[in-house]
Parts: sequence; C-alpha cells; structure tokens
Amino acid sequence: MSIKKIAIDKNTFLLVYKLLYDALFLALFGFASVLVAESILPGLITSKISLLKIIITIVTILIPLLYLGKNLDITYREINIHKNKTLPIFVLFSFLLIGNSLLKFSLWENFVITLATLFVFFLLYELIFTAEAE
Amino acid sequence: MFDFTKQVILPNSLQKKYQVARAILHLFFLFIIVFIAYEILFPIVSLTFSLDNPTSKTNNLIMPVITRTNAFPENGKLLANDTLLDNANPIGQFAKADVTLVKGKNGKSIDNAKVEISRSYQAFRYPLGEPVGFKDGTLLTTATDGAYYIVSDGKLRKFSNTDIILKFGYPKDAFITVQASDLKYNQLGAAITNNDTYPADTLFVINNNHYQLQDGKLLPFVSTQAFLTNFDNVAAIAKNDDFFASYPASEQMLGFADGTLVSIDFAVYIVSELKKYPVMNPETFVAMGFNWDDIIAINQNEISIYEKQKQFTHDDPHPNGTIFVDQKTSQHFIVENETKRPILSDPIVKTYSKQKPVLANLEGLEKGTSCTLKKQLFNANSFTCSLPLDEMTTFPGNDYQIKMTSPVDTTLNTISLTFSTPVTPNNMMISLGKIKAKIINR
Repeated sequence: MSIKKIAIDKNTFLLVYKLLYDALFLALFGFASVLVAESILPGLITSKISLLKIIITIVTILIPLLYLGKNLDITYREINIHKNKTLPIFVLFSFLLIGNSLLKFSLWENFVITLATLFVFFLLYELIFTAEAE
Repeated sequence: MFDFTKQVILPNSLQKKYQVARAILHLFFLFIIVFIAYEILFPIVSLTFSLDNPTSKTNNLIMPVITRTNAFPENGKLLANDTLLDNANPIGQFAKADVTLVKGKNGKSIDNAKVEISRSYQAFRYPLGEPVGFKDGTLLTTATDGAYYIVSDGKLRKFSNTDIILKFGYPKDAFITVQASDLKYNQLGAAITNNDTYPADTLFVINNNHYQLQDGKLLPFVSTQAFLTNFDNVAAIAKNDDFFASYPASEQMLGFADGTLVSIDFAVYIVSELKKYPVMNPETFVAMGFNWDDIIAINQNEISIYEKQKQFTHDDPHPNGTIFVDQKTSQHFIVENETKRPILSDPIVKTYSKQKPVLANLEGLEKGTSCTLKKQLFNANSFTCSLPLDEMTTFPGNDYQIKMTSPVDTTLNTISLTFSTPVTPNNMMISLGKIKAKIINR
C-alpha cells in the first residue's frame, strides 16, 4: 500500500517537474521579450511590470525545479554549445540586443563594439566551461 | 508543441492531466501578455485624496487648495462659491478622466456643480513675474549708438568710454550686439568712469579655469563646461596668476546654469542653485518634457559641489532656472521663486537657453473641458462625471488641474480621479501611433 502511494507521489512530482520546466521556459521567453521591447523603447513594459518581478518569478520557479530535479535524479546530457542548433539564434539575438543598446554610436563603431563584446563573451564562456571540463 | 522534458516520461494516466495543465499554463501566460498589452495600449491611473485624512500615505493626488485662502480646506469644509483646485500628475496619455467627489455625511449636495480640467506643467502655472533681463556678467553693445555695457549686480552699467574697456582688457568679441530696446529689462546702474576696479560679475579665465568676480573675490566655476552653460567662451578676460594678488580666489564654487540636466554614471540630475535633484526614472524625465540630448555628462568633482535633494518625481514642479517655451507664440519663460518670468527679447533668450527649453502651451492653461457632477445611482454621497481629455492631447504637460466651484456650503471627504483610455480600435491605433513616434524619436 505504502509502495503504491510512493509511486503515485513520484509521478505527481514528475508531472509538477514537467510543468515547472514549461513555466520556466515561458518565464524566460517572457523575460527575453521584455528585454527586446525595453531595448527598443525604454520604459514600455517596465512602467507596467518591473524586471525585478519577472526575475523573482524565474527564481521562484527555478528553486523547486532544481529541488525536484535533484530528488528525482533527473539528469541531462551535457549540451555541446558548438553543435547546438539554437546557437545561431542566441548569437543573433545577442548581436541585435547589444547593437541596439549602442544606437547613439555610428554604424561602424556600433558594429565593432558589438562584435568585440560578443567575442569577449565567447572567450569567457570557453574559459569557464573548458576549465570545468578539464 | 515541443516538449523540453522528453526523457521524463509520465504514465499514461497522467499524460492527459499534464496536457490539460500545460494548456492552462499557456493560457495563463497568454492572459498575462494580453493584460500587459491592455495596460500599455489603454492605460488606467487611479488617484485619490482624502480630505478628512490629508496626511494619509494612500493619498496620491496633490493636496487640494481653495482659491479664496490658497490653503487646504480644513476638514474638507467649503463655503458657497469656493473654488477647489487640485492637481494630478499621471504619466501617460489618456482619453478621459472620471472625477468623483464624496461629500461628508452632513455636507450639502453638490449635484450639478461644474468641474473643469486643464493640462500644463505645475511650474508653468506659476503666476507671471517681472520680465527677466540679461544675466549678470553679460557684455552688451548697441548697434545704434555704439555704447558698451556690462550687466553687474542685475544692473546695466555703461562704460563711459572705450579706453576703459581696453584698459580692463575686455575682449571685443565678447560684447553681444543688441537693440536699445533690449536693454530696458535691466535696471540702469551707475556708469563705469574709471578702470580702478573691475565691475562685479566680470568673467576671467586664469590657467584655463574660469572665474566670476563677486564681492571682490574670484569665484571659480567648477569646470569649463559648467562655465559654458552660462556664458560663451569669449566672454572671459584672460589673466595670469598675478591677478590673484588683487582679487583672491574664493572657496565658494559656481556651477552649471540653473535648470541644467546632468548625468553621472546612470543617474540624471537637474541642478539648480547648487542643489541637485535626482530624476526618479526615465518616465518622469520624459513626462516632464525634458530632452535626452540635453543631458551633459559630468564627473565626480563637478557633481560634488551640489547638495543632494529628494528625488524629483512627476509630482514636483520644475526647479528654478527651468526655461519654458510656448509652442504657439515661441514666448520664453524662466521659472524663478514660484513665478514664471517672461523673456521678452531674443538676445536675452539666447543668453539663457544654452539648452533646449521645455515645450509648453499658454493656451493649455485656460482651455480645457468641463463636466457637471451628478449624484451616483446607489451612493447618495458620491457625485461623479467624466471629463473628455481628447482636446488636450496637443497641450504638453503632465499636470492636470481640476477646478470645482461649490454651489453651496458643504464638506468633502474624498476626491478621486481615474484617468483612462476607453477600449476602442481608434484609441488602440492612437496608442500604437504614439509608441511608433517614440521609437522613431529615440
């Protein structure tokens, strides 16, 4: 009887985990959308809902998600960023976001600073995660 | 829909529940998006003031006054024909304002009382002051008679002859050519007949540092860019260190022109009379009619001479030194000690407006809309009516002034104003048009 109860509970937790994962995706998608809207027109969204509230929501989803993931022994394959199909989308998104924040610069200055910033980010990523892998 | 957690497999019995819960989650997310979009496209701002509890922290309308005493009506008491004034400063563009007045239990009915609304800036509502003249330290010459003047201690002092000017070392280019009629806004002072002592407010440059002579001492400007917000570079007489023997340097510093917008790190301040007012947020900055291009980036040394004040919010009037321009007549005004002093001559305007003035509209002070209060259906103490704001959209300003003349002796408990934009395709297109214009003008 008690074994059955545990099995049902675990599945319920799995269900909650999956829903939290979906909620996290939606919250992150919303956060990215707000960042885009804010970079196009500062104050457009944050005058209605502050970024802090969105960040608190994300953290509130993340905490039980991590807790459940750890207790349910859910693991993921390590993603190879170089082979990730979504990488070009993230690079393009970052490029547009950084470029947009430098609109007051001339086109060439903007282009060079944006590329340099992305390059620095890439180096930092390599430095941190290569060291971890070793 | 893509599944991010494919490896987490649910038993069949829970699959359907998961799909339903997931659909609800997505609908909830969609609802949030629609809600935010609604808030952006059709903004609503509710403001209230409790007259029987004027110190309440929930009051977010500015404290009302009655025009007879220019003071807050104690306990909300109004006499017949008293006019109650209240100001609301919501941020945004609105199509209508619903005004609700709640009378006290023993107060008489204010049914059919007229409520008027107008739109401008709080500081632009200040009473008209004396016309302003040229600022101290300005060097002037008239084309007609070739006379030379300096504005010193607010007075216009004429140089008796050109020899004195040469001996003092005033640069010829520093004298601004004006019409004789432009000089009438400065009081006439004693003529300068000898070159013994420099007249007060003369400007000097010593080792690339700028100074202004006041009370026999040289007051240093905190930086060259601070000096340039007040005067042109040519206005200063070049001297060397020996000059300090005759006129010692003062410890008191001079800063940027009053009303200048400055920034340090990510903070924007309005500086005025050696005080700095931190602007609360970008929405406040835009709502107060300021221009992002007018901000001057300054350093720690430059900001250190200013005394920090409380945050500048959209409920505060513009500080002294702010310049307004009427969008219809191009008439300029400068805010000074709760008056609005007109600047009636173009050369005077040029000496003041080193930065773009705030656009205002004199017509907006008078022209507004009105409505008649009617008793609410289920609340005998509440009186309400709707004020259309469409006609005022062309008037710049964040300050809506409500004026209500009481037909009888009465007492009021609460004033409420709800600014809103009705949900219509037309209003949505207007809101989208405004967003588009803001993006283009970035």
